[in-house]
Amino acid sequence: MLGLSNTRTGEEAIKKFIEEASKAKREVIILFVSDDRFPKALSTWLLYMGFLGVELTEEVKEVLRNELKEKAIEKIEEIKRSLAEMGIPYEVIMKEGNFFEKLREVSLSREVRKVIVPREKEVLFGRIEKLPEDFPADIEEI
Amino acid sequence: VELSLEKIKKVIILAGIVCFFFFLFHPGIEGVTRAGKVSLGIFFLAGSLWITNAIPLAITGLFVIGLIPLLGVLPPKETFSLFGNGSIFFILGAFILSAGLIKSGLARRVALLLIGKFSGSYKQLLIGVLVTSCLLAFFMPEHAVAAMLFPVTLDISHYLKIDERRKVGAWLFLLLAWGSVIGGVATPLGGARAPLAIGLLLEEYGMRVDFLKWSLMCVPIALSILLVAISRVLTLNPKGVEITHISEKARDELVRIGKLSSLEKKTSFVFFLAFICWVFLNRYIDMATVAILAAALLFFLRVLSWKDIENYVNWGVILMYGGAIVLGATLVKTGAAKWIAISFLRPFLRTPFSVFVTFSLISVLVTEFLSNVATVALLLPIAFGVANVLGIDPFFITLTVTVPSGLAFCLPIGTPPNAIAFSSGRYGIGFSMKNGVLMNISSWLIILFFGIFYWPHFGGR
Repeated sequence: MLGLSNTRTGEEAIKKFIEEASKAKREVIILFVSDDRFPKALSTWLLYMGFLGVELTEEVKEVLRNELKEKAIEKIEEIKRSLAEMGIPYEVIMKEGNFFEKLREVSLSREVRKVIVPREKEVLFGRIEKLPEDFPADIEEI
Repeated sequence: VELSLEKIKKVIILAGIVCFFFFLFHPGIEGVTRAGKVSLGIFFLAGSLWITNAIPLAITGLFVIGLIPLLGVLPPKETFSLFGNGSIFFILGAFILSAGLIKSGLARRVALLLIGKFSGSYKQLLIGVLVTSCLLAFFMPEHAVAAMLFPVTLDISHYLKIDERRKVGAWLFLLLAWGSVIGGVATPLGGARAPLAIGLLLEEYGMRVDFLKWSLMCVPIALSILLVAISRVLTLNPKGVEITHISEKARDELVRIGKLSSLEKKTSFVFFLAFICWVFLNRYIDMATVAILAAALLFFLRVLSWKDIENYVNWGVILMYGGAIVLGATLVKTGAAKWIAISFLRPFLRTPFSVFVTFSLISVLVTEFLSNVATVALLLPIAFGVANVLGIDPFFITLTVTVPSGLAFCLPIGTPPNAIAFSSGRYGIGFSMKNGVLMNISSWLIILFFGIFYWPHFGGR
């Protein structure tokens, strides 16, 4: 399974996922979690600085959330094309909420063996979430 | 990286606390009164809190206002009266006017009109975003311009084909930030640091600077920096980008918005009236009076309701400025500002020219890491201390610190427009650093040029 979120879309991990999927030749899952942490952190930070009113900050947050989601969906479309070309069956699951919580939920319910997740990049306005230690499948962060 | 940043923050706060108690219990510093000694302690403590954002900037402002009378630096009555500075009311009025511009849709219409005019080619489109954000920031706070134009710029980027977006997208957002930042230094409406500096100037020297005088000093600088940014755009040459459809999209959007609404007409009228007063009647009406009367007029004309003000105006900001003005005034009054300047910057402060070069350079550098207003709040009182020793015109030294402190081009943490544009995810820190450093150097040189050859003709010596 490939775990993506609006702040986790790194090319390296996607490349590795496609490579492994082509070797395994079995159904793979692409999970996308719309994670509110980054837009929320930016919005809080702007208010914290004391420069924007509540409404403006909410507007920025909303626009940003949609944009990040849209960018991730663009990326999922590219992955879907690559998998289809190689004849690998896939399923796309979309969720909202905390990235690792949703990743855990899907891993358990679908008995996933291995999970690849791109590394989180944005560090300026929020805290990078570390890999959970007791994850129900092999998890690799690239 | 983040862990070490957290550690640095903790060290800065600890240093602030240590300095506070050091100056509080120090038996005596030569040339500094007891009140001056205590205000130095408060300065370092507040500085550490403003730099690290350990508590909201506004609460640090309140904390300062509470500490000054508590520790006997100034009597309560005098401390609280400093809070009544006209600049605070100017900022409040300017924020309410900007809320009117956004809520009525007038600002968005102007943005679409301007961008539509510029979008014949990709270079024109980039220049369009740059010029539009810059010109809007002449009339409303730069952070509001960036927040308002952010969705418009995103829309534009969506009109581009995917490969075009990859080549031009990063510049689109970077130039949105640059335009807002450049325009923000032009008039007192563009950012809060100019009103704060004008307030400190009035408090310290009783010197009144009106809207027109400030703008005459700063508009040519903003336009020159804008030209540098435009030149940078002209050197770009991404292959295979042909943009012809953006102007049509902008036109379609304008058609969708329809004719000028009654709210937009009323807002235009109020803004026009305020602008006329700021520019032509500045001798008779104070700029803060104009701002608050114009803000009130928006209510009489039913453009804004109280709920809009609650939503669009961040009241905390007023407290931050209040605290900054009180602390700044205290530092200069007690001689503490002079002591900081002499103790830390003596080798660089031998002549008025070296003061000009040193303070403008420090402001350009510091503002990349600190919010613009915090930069002015911390540096201007120290610069006043030096100006008093060397007999430099206070207005000149105010410009020397305030104008460069608005020009943060590199880091997202320097100013809200950068943070908003960076959050688009279209570019990384490396991209904005590489291009921003060139802008920092160019704008500093432009400020030096105007400081030497232009400001003195207007009394700034």
